[in-house]
Amino acid sequence: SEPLPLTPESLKVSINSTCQCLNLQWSVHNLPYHQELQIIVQIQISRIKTSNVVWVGNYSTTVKRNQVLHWSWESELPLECATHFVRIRSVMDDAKFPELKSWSKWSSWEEVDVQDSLGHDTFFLFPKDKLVEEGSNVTFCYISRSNQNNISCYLEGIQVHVEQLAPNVSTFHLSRVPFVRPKGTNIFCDVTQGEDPKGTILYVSKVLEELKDFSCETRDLKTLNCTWDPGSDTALEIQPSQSYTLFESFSQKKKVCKHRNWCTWQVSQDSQEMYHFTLMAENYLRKRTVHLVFKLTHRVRPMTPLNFFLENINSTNATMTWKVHPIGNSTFLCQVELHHDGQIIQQNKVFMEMNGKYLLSEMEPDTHYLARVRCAYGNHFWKWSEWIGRKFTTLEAAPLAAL
Amino acid sequence: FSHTLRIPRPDAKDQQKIIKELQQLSKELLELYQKSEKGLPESTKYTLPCLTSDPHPPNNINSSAILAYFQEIRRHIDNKGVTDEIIGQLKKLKSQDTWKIKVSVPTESFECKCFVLTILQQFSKCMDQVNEPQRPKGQLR
Repeated sequence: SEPLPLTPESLKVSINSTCQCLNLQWSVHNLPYHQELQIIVQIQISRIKTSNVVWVGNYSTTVKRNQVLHWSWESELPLECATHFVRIRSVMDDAKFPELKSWSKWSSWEEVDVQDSLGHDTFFLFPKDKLVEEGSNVTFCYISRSNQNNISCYLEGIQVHVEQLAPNVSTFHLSRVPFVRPKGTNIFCDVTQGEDPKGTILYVSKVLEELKDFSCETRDLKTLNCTWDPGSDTALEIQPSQSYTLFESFSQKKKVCKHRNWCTWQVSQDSQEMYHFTLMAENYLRKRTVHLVFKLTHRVRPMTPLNFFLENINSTNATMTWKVHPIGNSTFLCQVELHHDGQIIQQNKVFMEMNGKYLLSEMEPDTHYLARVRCAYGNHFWKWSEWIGRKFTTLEAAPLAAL
Repeated sequence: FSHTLRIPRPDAKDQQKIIKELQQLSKELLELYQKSEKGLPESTKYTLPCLTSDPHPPNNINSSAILAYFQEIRRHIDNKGVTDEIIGQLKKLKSQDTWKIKVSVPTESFECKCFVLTILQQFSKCMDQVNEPQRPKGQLR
């Protein structure tokens, strides 16, 4: 039967200079069936002249009658520096029509040329103030409308190798560009003797690193404190530092964090037990996310104990007392230590509620000691609190009864 | 009722000390900027109106114009400390009743860097020139 007329129509091509993208838009009109069909679209892109094809690729998509399709292509060469030509064709790729397997006709070539809109200067260098990640490859090009031929270009003062692309267009290529400074890398071309060089800045951003050591804990079951290792700051003159956002899946709540490496989160009143956090770091060039799922009561780290006292100190014994900040009606596991000359000489663990008490015994008379305590959440151990303690000296031994 | 506080200008000896200080600071700031912005070409398009027509120091230094330039380029220089010292010293030299001139800094980023470098270079040369031992006729080269 007659091949299906899938010839793409009303192809329009526009330019996004910042991303060096050709944006295509087209539609396929005379589709006889009111269904969604699977098709393959082949795209050809030429530069300077139609015969000079620089890119061919296929794009699979579904299409309905009169639907407008969109597709985008990023050019390694700044689009200002050459005329580009685009044409497309398509073929049915639908299991429902195995027999219809022939390519449509090509659309006519769509030409895209911005050189006319550049203005009256005699020299242009592109891209202008481009932002890329460290390690990227960047192609620069210049358009010289007056016939200077000994134009030389420099990267941070060091001359680069230039290649001619067209009679008034030349290019130079930078591989794996390094981060140099927040104010960007200096690139310029000496065009005319005695005149100012023409230049631009290449903003090279450090790569936004994977988020490491993401962890959350609470000290009071009211506020969660999340911390992470942010890696290097990717701020540039034209790019703010990366932003950090916490998103909690169960409550669907989100918070933009003010600090680079920590953020607080208010525990919800509806006694939500499980938390699924997504931490997202983002700058203009990249996003990084990391996930953390935990039970709230498994991430409790009590605050430092308080009101620590040493009572009834005599030549061999002393009594330690302390309090803890209550967390719900939990019990606490506390660890007590006795140090002498920097050595732990006694260590023990006690369970307690709000008020702790421990008898230190078998000490030496008239001797300097350090006693300290720290506590952990009794329901589920996560981390110890910080220590609290005191130095003290046991009393001298009581004189033996007179012989 | 507004009362403009008239800040007394330093005497000749102090002015000489300030000018000497500015020479040192201008050199330091230029070196810092050149170090931080390698391979930047100087521009021939911009001129810092550094000197007045008055041959006698310190009136030969157009401190209010220089001050206006430094106040504009300050945000484009990382080293705020030295820049602020220069601005501070220029304020001491500046006579009260001079008009504040309008300085427009190029908005295009590369052009802006070249502009800053050029201003710092010209200021440093100017301070060297002003601090040169007085010629018999007191004329500046």
